[in-house]
Amino acid sequence: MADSDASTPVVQVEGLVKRIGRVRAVDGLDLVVRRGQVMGLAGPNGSGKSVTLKVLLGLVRPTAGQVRLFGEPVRPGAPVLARVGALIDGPGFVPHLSGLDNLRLAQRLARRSRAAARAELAEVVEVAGLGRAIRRAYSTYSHGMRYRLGLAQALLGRPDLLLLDEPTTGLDPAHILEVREVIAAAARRGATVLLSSHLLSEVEHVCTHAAVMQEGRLVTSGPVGELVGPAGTVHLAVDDPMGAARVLRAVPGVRGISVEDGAVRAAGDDLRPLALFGALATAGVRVLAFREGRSLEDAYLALVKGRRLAPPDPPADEGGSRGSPDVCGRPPEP
Amino acid sequence: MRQAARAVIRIELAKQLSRPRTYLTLGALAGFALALTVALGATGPGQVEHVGDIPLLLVPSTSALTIPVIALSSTMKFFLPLAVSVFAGEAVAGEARWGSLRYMLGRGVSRSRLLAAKGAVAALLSVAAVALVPIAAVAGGIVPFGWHPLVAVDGSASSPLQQAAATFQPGEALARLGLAAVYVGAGMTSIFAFAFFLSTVTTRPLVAVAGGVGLTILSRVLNADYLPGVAVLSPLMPNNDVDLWQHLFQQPVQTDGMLHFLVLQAAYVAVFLGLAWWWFGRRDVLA
Repeated sequence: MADSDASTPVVQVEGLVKRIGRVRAVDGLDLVVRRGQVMGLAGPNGSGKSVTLKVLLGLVRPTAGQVRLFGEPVRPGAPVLARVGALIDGPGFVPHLSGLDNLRLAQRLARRSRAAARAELAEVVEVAGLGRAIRRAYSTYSHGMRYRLGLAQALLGRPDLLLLDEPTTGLDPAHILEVREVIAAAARRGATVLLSSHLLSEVEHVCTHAAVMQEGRLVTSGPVGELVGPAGTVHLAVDDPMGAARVLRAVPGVRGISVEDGAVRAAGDDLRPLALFGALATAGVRVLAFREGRSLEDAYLALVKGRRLAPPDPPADEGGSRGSPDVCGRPPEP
Repeated sequence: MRQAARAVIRIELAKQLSRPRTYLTLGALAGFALALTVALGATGPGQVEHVGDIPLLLVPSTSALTIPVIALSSTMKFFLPLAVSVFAGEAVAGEARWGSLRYMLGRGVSRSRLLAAKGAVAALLSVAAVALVPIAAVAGGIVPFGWHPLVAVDGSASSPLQQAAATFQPGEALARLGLAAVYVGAGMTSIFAFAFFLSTVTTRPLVAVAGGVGLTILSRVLNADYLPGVAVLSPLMPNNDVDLWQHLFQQPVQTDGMLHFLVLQAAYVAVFLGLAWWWFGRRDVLA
């Protein structure tokens, strides 16, 4: 096999260009995904993520550039595609057949012994988690049920590479967690995952690595931890930002304070949120919410606004050129 | 290789044979043939039916074997082209509309193989549609009209004083009916190929189906028999001479124009199936 060398990238995209009409949907993309990575292809709608995944599946012909999976060039019908499971542009099944029959049909494409096929089918039916509804016509399924069946189909054959396009779209929080667990389980058994999402928080939660696209180009890529930067900051949503800033400057370890859109960002070494909460409580400032570090979304926004990516800006008061910090989490009662 | 091809054909067959649409279409054709039998029986014995442009003069109450001749004549210009257009037009576009086309291709199924499987299954259903009409007509006519020789009067060669009647024993009549069905089936191949090509171009099956039916209608409109001014175009229209099989029931048999018609069908098939293969192999599957 071409990928006998473990160092061969699972996905290798070089100078990919795809024109659709007059639009350059993908514009010179270079991307490498290595074995075992869970790579998030992030970016706003229309940034070229889905088209890139379709090129990887041999569904769309590149205008220029090269695409390889496991070291083999991708073209329509390439044998290497048998090693790929995909959920692209939403699920697609025969509407008058049951979910189970649809999975059986999809399974027929792979040559397996009957026993292996049965075990594998039971496995993915479990992933779909549709209960008795698995025997109902697909046309009667809700949006969420269809996505879960789509994910189950993607896992048929225990693919070495999973290509997932917005896999949690329209799912409720419980099912989003299930999908994340499925992705994590696939990664644990050694599969490589490339998933696209316009939700950077999704990528941050699920992926080990991220590549951010905008207008068909790669903005940045790397391990999520590196992209997000060190967690030497604490964001605090408070009822009196200016008062909080005065109080926090006096807290040991705080090297800088900035106030942005009603929130305070404290930067420093070894910051302890409880110490900050205590100081604020003593001063009568109420903490509404807090978050440590910065999100991938912050990093992305900073990047596309011309700021340098990680580490965070030097701790100093600055104008609110950035959007409102995405604070989350509830503080403990002081 | 061969195993993979068989798997794709089996998958396609399973999909199409589980579709209510398949049975509705075939059922409607069989139902039409049976309804025709009932209607012809209700008109009473001795009623003469004028079939086709010759015309053939048939008395349905004399034999069940007259019914398939009338049924084929009644369905070959619209119902059969419609059925064939449905099967061919939905073959690829239907799968694209379901969203499952990208998953078939995304699993590494070769586009040529998938197209061949879809074409083969759609062709099989189209053959079933053409065969079903005379079979249902014969089956429906046996009880009311009996199993007797087929008597066909050549309306073009008859005068009030002398009838040019040909009598065909049941076995021979069945053989000629078989040839007639094959000829009608061959006449559907141009429509099949055109609708199948459209099916690879659009993701809306209705457009491909309408295209097949539209070609049939265009063919009937540009017919020099009714509109002499289009004599240049008329020989190129794929459906104009689909009724020449009726000459198989004349004595002696007239085969003028049949070869031209069959060659024309082959040309349409070669062009449009070739285009379908060329286009489907290159198109971006975005749906």
